[in-house]
Amino acid sequence: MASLGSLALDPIDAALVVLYFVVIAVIGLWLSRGVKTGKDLFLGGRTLPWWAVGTSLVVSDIGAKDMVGLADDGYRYGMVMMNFDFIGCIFPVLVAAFLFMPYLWLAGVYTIPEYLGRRYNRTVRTLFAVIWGTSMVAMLATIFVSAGTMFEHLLGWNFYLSIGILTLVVGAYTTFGGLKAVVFTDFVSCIVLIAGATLICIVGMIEVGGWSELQRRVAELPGTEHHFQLILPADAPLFSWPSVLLGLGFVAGPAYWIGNQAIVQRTLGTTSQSAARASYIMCAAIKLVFPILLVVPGLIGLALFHDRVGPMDAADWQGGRVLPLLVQLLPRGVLGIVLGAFMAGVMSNLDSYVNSASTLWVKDIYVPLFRPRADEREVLSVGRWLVVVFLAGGAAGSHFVRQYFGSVFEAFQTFLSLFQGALLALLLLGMLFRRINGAGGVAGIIVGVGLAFFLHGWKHLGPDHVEISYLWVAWWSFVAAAASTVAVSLVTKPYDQERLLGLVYSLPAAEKEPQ
Amino acid sequence: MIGRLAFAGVFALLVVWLIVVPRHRIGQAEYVPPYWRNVRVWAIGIAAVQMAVYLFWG
Repeated sequence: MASLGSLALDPIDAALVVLYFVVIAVIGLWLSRGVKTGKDLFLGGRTLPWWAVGTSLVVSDIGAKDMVGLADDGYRYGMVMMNFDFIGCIFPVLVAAFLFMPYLWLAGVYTIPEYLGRRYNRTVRTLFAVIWGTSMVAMLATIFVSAGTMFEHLLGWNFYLSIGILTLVVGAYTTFGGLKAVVFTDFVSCIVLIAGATLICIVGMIEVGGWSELQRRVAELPGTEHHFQLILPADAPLFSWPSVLLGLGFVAGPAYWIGNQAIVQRTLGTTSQSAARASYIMCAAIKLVFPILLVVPGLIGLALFHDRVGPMDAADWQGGRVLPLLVQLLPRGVLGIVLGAFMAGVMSNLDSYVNSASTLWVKDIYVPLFRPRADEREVLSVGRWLVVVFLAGGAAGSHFVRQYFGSVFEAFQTFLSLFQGALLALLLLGMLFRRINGAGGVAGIIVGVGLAFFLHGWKHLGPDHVEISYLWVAWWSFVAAAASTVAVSLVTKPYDQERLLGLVYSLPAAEKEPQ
Repeated sequence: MIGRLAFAGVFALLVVWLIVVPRHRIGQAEYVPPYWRNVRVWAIGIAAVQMAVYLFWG
């Protein structure tokens, strides 16, 4: 990987970065005082305000991997990448806020697999808990890679030393403070992240000479005819509009925003179902502008640094190089804020995923399968130990993600596409139709996840190494899972209606506070 | 052009659904908050902005 040199931090910048670390650590550890049960650790005692959860939702999704990854992808593919936050986020978030979240909140569950276990059976719960729990550790590795790469390129820090320091800081407040510490530190991180991303855009745009000049400079480069289009032609090899609409808008996006434990868990910790709904709406409102702040820097990087970064369609493309160059444009003082924003993104992503992975393994695997009579003290203790274990596992796994994936954003999306289709099929069918049953659910998981693995493997094993976009993988996996779930459910015995009360849209339960 | 209409159409359908969804389905059976605190109004506004984005800048 080409060395881009490193910055010598001005004392003001260094002080701002240290101040950010101190503020986050103090908030996180201060909030750890009230954590006495598993419910406190995993759901913040169900006392979380909607405005804090709304910002936490944003930075749990958009973090350092997006700052680095979307700047790279904005450079390579252009504005089409904004679709990941427009049709891929705002659409499913609005649907989830009114259709799905109230059911999950009223059910009083801790996790998505727990809901699926009640709706289908224990096998479905365990299968999804293992799949999600394992994938979350893999996702932690991609977040570590984006952080380590940035520190290495920008500050000249050792990749593995950077990851070690992050593990210690995030581990300290997440282990003791739980979801409440995660959500309130995320609130601070969201403000810093928006400020930092805005500053990069403003300084970069001034350097280029304005929007018209940006368009002119990019248009002069070869292969950039679609860089300023949100919607690409149907025959585009990557991100064609049918694949974005079907794969991202109808499957990957909804699966992520309705079925991702790291996302949904914080809304389950809100004070009421109205608060859960309001937090999703706030997230959607922020997402109207955030993708612009993350993708436009990639276009600015293309206009300014094409000679240094190289062609966007290079076969040996290596990610993480665009943002460090942009950051070097920033004046003293501003650099400190942007570095703080980057760390905010890293830490908010890490704390969200590690807290949720711990919740999944404790609530869906450890307690139901091994220790059904575990008391709150044991649940709290095991949950805290698992935070430490998963952070260490993610840090170790970052070595492999760095070796085998060109873009950390692509790595993240590839992991998700393996099981998103099946998860969404089961959630949608299970919430909307009474006739769907446990046998159908098991068949849906096996067929959907199996097909996703086959399609990803096909590009390595198949003739001519055919490239299949992960968006199409998500779509066809969803179709196969839905078809097999329906088919098997129809030929097996239906569930009684009483068993489905409060779990299916047409059979609402009384609206009461979950215990 | 077809792609642009398809994306804008998805958000148009979402706006229609948000308008017609019954009050009891969104926790407003007994009390409808003022428009500036009403999540339904905010959601319709956000979906309408997205529809415009895809229609005019798609």
